[in-house]
Amino acid sequence: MNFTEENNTGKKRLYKVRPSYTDGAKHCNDSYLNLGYSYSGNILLNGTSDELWANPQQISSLKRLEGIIVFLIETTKDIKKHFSIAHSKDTIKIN
Amino acid sequence: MANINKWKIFNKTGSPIYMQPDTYMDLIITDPMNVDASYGREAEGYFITNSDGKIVAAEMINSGHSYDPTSFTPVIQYTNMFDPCVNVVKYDIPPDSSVLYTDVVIFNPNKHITKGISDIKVDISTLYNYPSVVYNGNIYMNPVSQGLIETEHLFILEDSGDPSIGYVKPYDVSANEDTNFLLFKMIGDEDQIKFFTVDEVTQTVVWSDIAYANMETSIPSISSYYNSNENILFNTNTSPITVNIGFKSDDEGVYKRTMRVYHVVKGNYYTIAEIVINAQSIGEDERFRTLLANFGLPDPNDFPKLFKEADINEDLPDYNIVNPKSKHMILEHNNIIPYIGTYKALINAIKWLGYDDIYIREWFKNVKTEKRLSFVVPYDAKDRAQTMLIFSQEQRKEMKKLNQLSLIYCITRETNEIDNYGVPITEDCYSYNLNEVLIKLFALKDWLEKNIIGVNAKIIDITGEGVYFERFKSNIYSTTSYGFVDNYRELMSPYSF
Repeated sequence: MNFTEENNTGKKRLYKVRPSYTDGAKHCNDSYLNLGYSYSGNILLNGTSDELWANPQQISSLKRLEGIIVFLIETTKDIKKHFSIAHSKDTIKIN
Repeated sequence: MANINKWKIFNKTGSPIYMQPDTYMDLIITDPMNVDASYGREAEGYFITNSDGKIVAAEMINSGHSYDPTSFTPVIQYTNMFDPCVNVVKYDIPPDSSVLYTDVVIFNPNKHITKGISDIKVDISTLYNYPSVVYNGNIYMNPVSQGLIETEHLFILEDSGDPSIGYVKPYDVSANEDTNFLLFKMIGDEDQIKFFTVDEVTQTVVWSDIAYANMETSIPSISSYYNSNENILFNTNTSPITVNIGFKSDDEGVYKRTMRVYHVVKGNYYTIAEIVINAQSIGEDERFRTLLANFGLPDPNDFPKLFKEADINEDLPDYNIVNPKSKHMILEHNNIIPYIGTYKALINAIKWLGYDDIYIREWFKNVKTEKRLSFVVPYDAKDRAQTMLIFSQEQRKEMKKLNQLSLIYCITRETNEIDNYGVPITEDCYSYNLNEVLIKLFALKDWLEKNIIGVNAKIIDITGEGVYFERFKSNIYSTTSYGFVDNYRELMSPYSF
């Protein structure tokens, strides 16, 4: 996720979005099943007309929009995680 | 110069930190007969320069194998990344340089003893950049609850190369303390990671982005004392350079900051190492608050210091303990809450709180003899055959169950090891002192009486049990004195005159 907040000092709070190294070490061998197909990166591309993507100068803007859509979809996982305490509260490995 | 290629950096657990060299003067070692697969290959290394820019040593990363110095001398060249030329220029080392070899065993699949390159001695008058290598490393601090402090301590030593001397304090022979020293500086915005020192006078922690250290100014050496086998160490300081790193954050997240190590030589700052410090603060898992409240379960967030592992001196809750205990309560509440008022709930609640060394005694009174006696409360009902049920039914009629319980905790326990004198070694069951243990156990008693034990029963005492061994020396010695048997007789009857 390319998402950073800025606090009132103007510094980017990257620590909010960095993946946890302890989780990485704990779950590096985990094999997740039933995560569904990942549409990440292609949602806007598949949902809009090719005309929109014909102008190469617009692609970078559209990709940023894509990032926002992916982020919004990922946030809906919080609802499911709220009642699934077996999952870490920061995990995205949930369908 | 700082011999950082010989430094060993240890963390607070004593584990070495791996440092990856980023080299500017690589060695290119080729065998003139490398057309044949059986000839030498894979040797890698780089040159080390001193603060004057002179090449003083070669550090071999990989000795390689299958070199044959009796037939062909390998061609050794070096590059300089700071060379002004656009294309990489390979310089030949002087012909009078010496190449040292070491035995390397390879299996292909049969065993062969071949030669690898262990060191290269050169004398090159050209001056180059200092340093010729910058070391990079990573430190991963233990995750800590938000608001609490986690520390890491780096101990820097130098391998003297002499096994009889071992590790010594890093030294810089060209230095005096005023002109040459080490400067550690934190780079980056995330100032939750800093250096710290403790002011012994005011008992306060002083945080800083910069730390200094002086190096030894003389080479450690060893000398034999006359012709005896006794060795004397000269100029040997084995105290490491210590760097204290602290991390404290009020927000949960994963933090990263670079610690840059400068070798300051007469006012010039030379970067010799960069270590990325990674730290993580653990926040509250808010999901459990809702779930625990919905089920009407005890919430660890309301009594975070009651758990055995929790430190009562901390000001803030430790979410490294509270989060898993909350989850544990949700998963295991069916073994505690429905059984409130029973021994099962009591034992399970004590286990949930982490006091695995505590057991409970129940009290009885013999109504005939008026004597009180107690038995350990077993977890399994069948084990009561070893306590109360050891008495016959007739005997049990005389026993009256009292509403009293005792908490028995462990002060010391055996480790099943013995010391040099053959005395069994014991260890403390708690990492904090007995006063703190009692504070926690009184809190535990109150909590259990309020939440778990039935209305009528109460815990009447908290008793500590410890195992202690004492060695008594029995002095037996022989003497050369002779013993005599003397008989003296005195009549006690009065004389009659």
